[in-house]
Amino acid sequence: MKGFFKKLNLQLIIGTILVLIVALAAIFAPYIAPFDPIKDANLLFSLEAPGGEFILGTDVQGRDIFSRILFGARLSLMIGIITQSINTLIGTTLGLIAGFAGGKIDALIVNLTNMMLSIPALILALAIISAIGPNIINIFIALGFTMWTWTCRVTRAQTMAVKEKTYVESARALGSSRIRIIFRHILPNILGPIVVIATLGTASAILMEASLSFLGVGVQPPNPSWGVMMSRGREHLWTAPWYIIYPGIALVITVLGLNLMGDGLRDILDPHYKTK
Amino acid sequence: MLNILPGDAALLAGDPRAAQNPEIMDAMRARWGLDQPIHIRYATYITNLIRGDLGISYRTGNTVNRLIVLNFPPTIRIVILSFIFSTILGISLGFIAAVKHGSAADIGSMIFSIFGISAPRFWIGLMLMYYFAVNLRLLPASGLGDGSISYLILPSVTLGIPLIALLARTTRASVLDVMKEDYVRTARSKGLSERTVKFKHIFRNALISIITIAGLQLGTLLATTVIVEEVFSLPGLGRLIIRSIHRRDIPAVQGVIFVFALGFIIINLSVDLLYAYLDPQIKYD
Amino acid sequence: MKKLKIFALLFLCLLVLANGISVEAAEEERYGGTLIFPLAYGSPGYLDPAEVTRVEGEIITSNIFDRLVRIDPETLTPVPLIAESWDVSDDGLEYTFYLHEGIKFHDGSELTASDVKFSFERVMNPDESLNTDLLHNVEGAREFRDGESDYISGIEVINDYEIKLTLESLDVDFLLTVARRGSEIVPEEAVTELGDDFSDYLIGSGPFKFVSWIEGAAAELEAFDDYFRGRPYLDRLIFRDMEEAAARVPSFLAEEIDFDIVFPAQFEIYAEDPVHGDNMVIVPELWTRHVHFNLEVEKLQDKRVRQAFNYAVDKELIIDRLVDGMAFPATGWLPESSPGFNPDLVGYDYDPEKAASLMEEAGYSPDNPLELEIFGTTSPHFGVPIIEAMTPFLEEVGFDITPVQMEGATISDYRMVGDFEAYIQSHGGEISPVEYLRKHFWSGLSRSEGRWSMYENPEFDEYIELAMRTIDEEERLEYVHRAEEIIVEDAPVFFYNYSQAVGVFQPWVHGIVENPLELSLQPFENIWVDDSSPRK
Repeated sequence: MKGFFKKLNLQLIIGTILVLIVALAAIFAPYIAPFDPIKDANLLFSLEAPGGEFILGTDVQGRDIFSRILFGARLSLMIGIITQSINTLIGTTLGLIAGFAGGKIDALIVNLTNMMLSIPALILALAIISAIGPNIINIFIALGFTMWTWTCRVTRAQTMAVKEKTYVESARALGSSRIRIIFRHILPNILGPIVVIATLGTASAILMEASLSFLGVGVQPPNPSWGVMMSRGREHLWTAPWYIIYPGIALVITVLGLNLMGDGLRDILDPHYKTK
Repeated sequence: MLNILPGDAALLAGDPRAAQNPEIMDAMRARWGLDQPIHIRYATYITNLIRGDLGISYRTGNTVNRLIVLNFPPTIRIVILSFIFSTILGISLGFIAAVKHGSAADIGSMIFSIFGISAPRFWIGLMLMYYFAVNLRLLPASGLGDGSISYLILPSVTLGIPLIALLARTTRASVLDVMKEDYVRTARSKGLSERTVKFKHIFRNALISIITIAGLQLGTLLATTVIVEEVFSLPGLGRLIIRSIHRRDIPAVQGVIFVFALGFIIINLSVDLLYAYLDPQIKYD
Repeated sequence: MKKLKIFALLFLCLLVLANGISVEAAEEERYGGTLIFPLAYGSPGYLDPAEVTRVEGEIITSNIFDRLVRIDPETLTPVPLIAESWDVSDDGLEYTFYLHEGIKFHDGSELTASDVKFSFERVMNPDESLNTDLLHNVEGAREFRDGESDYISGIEVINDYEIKLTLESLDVDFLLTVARRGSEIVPEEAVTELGDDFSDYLIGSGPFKFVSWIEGAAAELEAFDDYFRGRPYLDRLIFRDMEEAAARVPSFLAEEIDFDIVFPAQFEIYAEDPVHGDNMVIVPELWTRHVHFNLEVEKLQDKRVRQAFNYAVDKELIIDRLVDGMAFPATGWLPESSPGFNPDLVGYDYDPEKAASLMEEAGYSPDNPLELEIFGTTSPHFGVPIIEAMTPFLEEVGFDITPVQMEGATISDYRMVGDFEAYIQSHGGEISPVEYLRKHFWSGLSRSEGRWSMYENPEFDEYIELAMRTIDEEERLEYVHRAEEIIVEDAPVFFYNYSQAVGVFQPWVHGIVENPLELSLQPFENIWVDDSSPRK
């Protein structure tokens, strides 16, 4: 059992380190990046191979891929965090209401969740984007309002479990208001699973943004989104593979870090939860 | 979900700029009968939908039904192909990992699975294309070619890797759970051979949760064809939807989304039924 | 190394220009086999000839349908097709076409003059057609188009094999009109019977019969045995929708396609191959890549701003780096392969200082930039990637550029109604220099007919109208040059480059022609494959 525990913590440690690297890169991008990601386009250096002045090479327009990856980290993390915040807010609120209120409201929310879950988020996001057009704000909308379902499910289940606990019962008997019960007694006790879901959700939001941008319906060029960079690099797969490889590695590191962190957190914060 | 379907004029433009331009709107409205009031259009759309008529695509002049029928085969082929081999591979991997719990094989397969879940599919696809088609020239890089199965290998693998990863994880976790259960211990203590215990008892009991995951993931697999078909230039439904979005061909977008949604609902329903059949303890009211 | 390559290319081009050579076939022609040709520019959308407005569709339809005359890709002059000969009246206003007798449509019916009349009325009918500018100069055609009359007075069927067209005003290049996209002859009976379903059957009189078209996949055609010029060599002709250039390469190397349109990023892969390197064709095409400005947008009405744009960008560097040298910097509107090309035209050199001072005069500077939104497709040669490459040059002199990525068809929608500031595109495929200039800048045109910029200059109009009416070749060319000079001075567009198309064909393919109109428009009825083809 002890060895088991050790291994899980390793996940958390590795995950946190990876996420920290990406976060620091994102925060200090303007200081680390040797070039401007958009403006420093010098055609004299187009499609330079990695090494020398351009650590990871350049793209067709002669922009430094390393700098673009750093600023891309900003974009990815920003989109991941903002959309996941929307998701968490919606999911937690609905989950709390459903779990606490029960009855018809619960049934309504559960049905809504099931309906949304029956269609994969990518298709839902595509449907929304096709209606409102591709740009960063609309990505927040498309992803923020489609990926809250897991949070809602987990919150509801946890709320229902905690609701029956003696301390909640006694608070209720003492005449505490519903709001007070929710914020004082229920929410703190279910925070763990919510944090876990939020971490994993951020990873999928980032992945989703990259996919949408790759398909040309997400972030629009010349913004340095990793998805956009890779979609551009396809044309040069034969002659300039670094164009695709490095943004991909950055994306894998970010998503892997968040996933490992989520898994690690889950085992500490929520030992009963089984891998879905 | 249905409220995204009826073809409103604001939707048809596919981006808000056109929706603000009265001339584009009028021209489009007149051409596609959108100048009628919304409730009539909605009614018409729903009636047609019930009759199985998804309308006419703006850009190709074809009926959406026909577009869907023509683009259906590649999608369904890669979905089935990748589903079959991912379930086999994923379950075996997870089972081995669980039975040899703690071994190098276990750790290796778990590292693979976390990578498989974290790596974006289009990137996996492009990397596979780069190594197997561009560098080694072992497999065709894209398109359907003459229709032989070699064209479907890279797309199916790309489509399936995350599923293999997920199934390996799930299988491992549920097998580990089942191994702790009383009946397995009983079976063991009864002196049944280790082989029988492993395959008969553990595996069969873990199968229920595995099937649920696999079934639900079939829906995700279908959705991911959007990305995979784009990477490998396969003329399937996924590519149709992306192209239609780019061309603002709203009837086509709606039609494909409707078909996808229908597919997911059917898959989910089948999984529920299968689940109920496999596990008699669960009842559906 | 790069320099050397460019020189080699230039040399090749000169050779091509001088001879207009087609790739010679030493062996005996052979019947049979299938040819698979990629659609490199994307999906054609509509395939009804009246609705085909872009070359993507014409690549397919030109094999199913025939026109009265066709353009010989070597001499770029009209030669007989459905019309075996024609007479022009002394005043140049009446064209009588004598049709080849016994031409059959794919459904077995015979093509007669009434089918021609029907097709021409159909193409001028806005309910059926998107090419209603085609016969603008035929008497009564505009009234018919605008619904003011129910027939075109200038079209007269004399008998089954004779039809007379009367023009409103002299147009020396009129014959090209009936060789142009939209002028295909369709069977009256079948079209009337099938109505909107005609696009599913596509019955023409061309060398190939339509079999199927699957959106996003392929169009399949098969040989028409009763073709009046003799059955084509190929049994089957397949156009495969393959927009991704990087993806076409492995398909070609694996012998899955018989031809490839080579984009610059892939050029070296083929050029360095010992076999394929010898089977390449390089053609300076009749296309001009440019940024079109919308002159109805107030800030773009200042000529200095548009000229500054032209001075600001180092197009040679962009061509060298992003187009791999596969284009010529544009000096004006008429490309080098056009008979109207003016070698003495200077155009705009790269001169950032001049650009900056022009911008300053117009009231802009890098601190107070002119914001400009430019639409573009994903094309790496004339799309958003090019705008991105131009951006640093432009921002230096006082522009603030926002690229907006969209599909070609979407750009068409916006420019149709004038809802744009600027877009980057490639226009062309037109032999007549007069028509090519008229089509986009003559003030008599509406926007949807092609005057996307809404450019207006009476002086230009005058030269164009003079050129249309002048029979003397030299004098005519003089007017064309004058007109183009005015366009260059007024700069309603940014003159970017004249494209070169590069193609590569498999060793078993014979009869590929270097067509400057568009390399993909091959005379497929003359192309044959020898028995080393995997699809013989």
